[in-house]
Amino acid sequence: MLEISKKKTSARQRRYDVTGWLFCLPAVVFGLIFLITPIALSFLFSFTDYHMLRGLNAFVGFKHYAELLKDAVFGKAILNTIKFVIFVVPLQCGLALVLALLVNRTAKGFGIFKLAYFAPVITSMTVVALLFMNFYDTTGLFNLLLGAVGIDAQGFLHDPNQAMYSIIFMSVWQGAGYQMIILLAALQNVQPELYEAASLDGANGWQKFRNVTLPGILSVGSFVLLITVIGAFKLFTQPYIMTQGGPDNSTMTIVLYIYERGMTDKLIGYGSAIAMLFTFAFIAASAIGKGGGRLVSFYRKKRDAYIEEMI
Amino acid sequence: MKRVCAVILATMLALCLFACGGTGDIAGKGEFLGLKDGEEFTTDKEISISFIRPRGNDAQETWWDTTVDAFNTEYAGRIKVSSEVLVRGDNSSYEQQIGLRVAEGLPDVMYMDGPYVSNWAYNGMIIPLDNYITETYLTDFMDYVLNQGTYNERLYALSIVDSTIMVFYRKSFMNAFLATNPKFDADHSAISLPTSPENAWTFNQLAEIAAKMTTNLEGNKKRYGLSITGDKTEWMSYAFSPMWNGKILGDDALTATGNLNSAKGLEAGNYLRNLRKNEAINPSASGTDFYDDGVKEGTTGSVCKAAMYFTGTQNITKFNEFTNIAEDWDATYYPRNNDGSYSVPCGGWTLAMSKDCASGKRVAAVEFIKYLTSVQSCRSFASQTASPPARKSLYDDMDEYKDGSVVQNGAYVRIKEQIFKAAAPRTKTVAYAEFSPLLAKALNEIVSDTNPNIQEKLNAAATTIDNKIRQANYK
Repeated sequence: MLEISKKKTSARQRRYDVTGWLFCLPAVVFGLIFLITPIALSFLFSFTDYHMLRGLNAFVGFKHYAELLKDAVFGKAILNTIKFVIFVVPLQCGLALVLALLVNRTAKGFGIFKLAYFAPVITSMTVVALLFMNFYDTTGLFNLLLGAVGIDAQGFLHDPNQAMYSIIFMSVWQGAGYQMIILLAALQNVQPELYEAASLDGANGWQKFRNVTLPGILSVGSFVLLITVIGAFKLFTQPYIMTQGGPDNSTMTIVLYIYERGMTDKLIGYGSAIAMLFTFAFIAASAIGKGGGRLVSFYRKKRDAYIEEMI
Repeated sequence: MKRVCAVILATMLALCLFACGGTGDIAGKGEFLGLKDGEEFTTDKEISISFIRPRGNDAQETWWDTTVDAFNTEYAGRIKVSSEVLVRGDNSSYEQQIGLRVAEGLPDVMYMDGPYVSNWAYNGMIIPLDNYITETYLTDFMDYVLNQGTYNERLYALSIVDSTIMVFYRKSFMNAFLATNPKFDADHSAISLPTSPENAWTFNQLAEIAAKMTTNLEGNKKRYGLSITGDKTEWMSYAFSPMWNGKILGDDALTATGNLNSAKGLEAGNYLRNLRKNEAINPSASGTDFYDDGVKEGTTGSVCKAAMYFTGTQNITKFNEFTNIAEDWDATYYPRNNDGSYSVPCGGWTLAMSKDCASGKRVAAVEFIKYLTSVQSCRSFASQTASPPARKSLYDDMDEYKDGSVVQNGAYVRIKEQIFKAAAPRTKTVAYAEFSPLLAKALNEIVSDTNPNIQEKLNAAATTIDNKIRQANYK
């Protein structure tokens, strides 16, 4: 009797398993075709002389990797990308938090601000880039404004010392709305009772922000930080449209360089080697995210201790 | 698990090697496999030919549709051509899209940009046409057209029409300028419109005239003397490479350092820089500045922002779209170098047969190419698209090119004169894909940067080009 029941259970279990796998199948197949296979191929190609027009003729071992170490433009692309990440991540996340705090009001008319800050996010980056190219132009809006206060026209996208900062400024403006919406959702999940309790304790605005708001949104905050870091490392569209990596490679980024070497120069092998090295940059970004996670748990503990103390 | 991964990776690589291998078999030079002139194409069953080309302007699109339809009608039951049209866009995207198709198989016949012939032939993407076309058939083609289509002494491509660069100008502004301007330039030569390629303006004279023609307009705007806008990846290389006197790459056509960044290069860079400095050009001009005031059905036009336009003849159809511009444009010769030497950049789109055109289809594919390059097709394409024909005989046959023609005040005759005088294909190198975009980028940056170090920019471009050529393993 027990034997029959066991058999029934295992048959049912198998059915469940098969159903589960069937549900997973589209994602697994999709991931295999569009994610795992390209990564594996890219890894293999990075050890070959694969040229888009001539095909794959020989293994070259670590030749491309060795050459990358001597490639000055690649070095510049790494530095530019890091510069972009260093500036954009805090600026964009900080601005997003400020905007989220500002629009986190129930007062009438604040909805319009949410819409205004989020509008650039739903606008195509290509359109935004073209718009800012006009703004940054010698006779564009920004130079007209500078001219009105007696400042000489600036090169913005044409000056090697300004081009990356011009792209950073535009990217912060374009992307902050997305992080703002996520942080806003987190802010609205912070329990009002905590603010009430903090007020009863005589906490001022800053203390409430530091001890209630910040710990309350930190887990979401670390997620926002992670996606911003990843997004920043993948910088491509803005320099591709606005500067093509110039002037003097001052806006050349890792992804743009992968595209330039792999697609424009047709050196698939070399482009793959850069892509593989770029993967390590992502691993580093993930490590930063992990560090952020630890920070979150630290603040969580602190918050729990505070709540316990209040009770 | 490790073993499974290794086996999977090895299998994938083997599949890639298999997929990438092999190019079409190429017959030796002198081995004739085609039809004799006048011989009719016959076949037991209909042969399908695939043809790829980039989208052109309206006039070109109309011509292609009509001509391919006419071919299919004339060869019904024998050859059927199916066309695929790609958007070219900027940044050599057409060439990139073709490159991506190499692994999966190229269409039988490809319309390609002339300067890439050496590059595509070197990389085995196209096969010679001279096994299928008689020498007699080629005698009517312009020498520089054949030169552009030739790589390693084999003919790979044949053109229908070509292109060249002229100094286009608006007659109304030019006449007003000539009437009011002091009659002498810095060299104390009278400023007047050149009457032959021999007395074409020098680059310096063009710059001086352009600077003088720049005019302030209402609302803090300007109408600049000259517009030099074009394709980001190669326009600047195409337009200004004659300033290097043919020495932009070394004798091996693979070395930029010492050539591109030579004294001639610096002179060219300074020239471009001064065009901006002296406000002869607008560094952020758009390609429509010359005809922004154009009026046609449904549009009223705004203000003309460039009195002259240094551009290719392919833009004539654009000018003619507007009733007021069609009557107002004229053209003078491509400028001479300041040392008096004269070389005119030419080179246009051309037809080639791909490596993937099967042996049994090649005669049919060439029949299609010959149809497109026939006297009749060349004439209609040249006429409808206002492009200089690739065949010599048509310059004596088409009204607009006949000596003494008054069509457009003789502008087409001037096009003919400069082509016959000094036409030269664009820099011929197997590394055109590596060389041209980088030179164009450097020259564009020299124009647009606020304070460029010209020599440094040229040095960097030359070094990068050399590195890219080395990495691409050209020999």
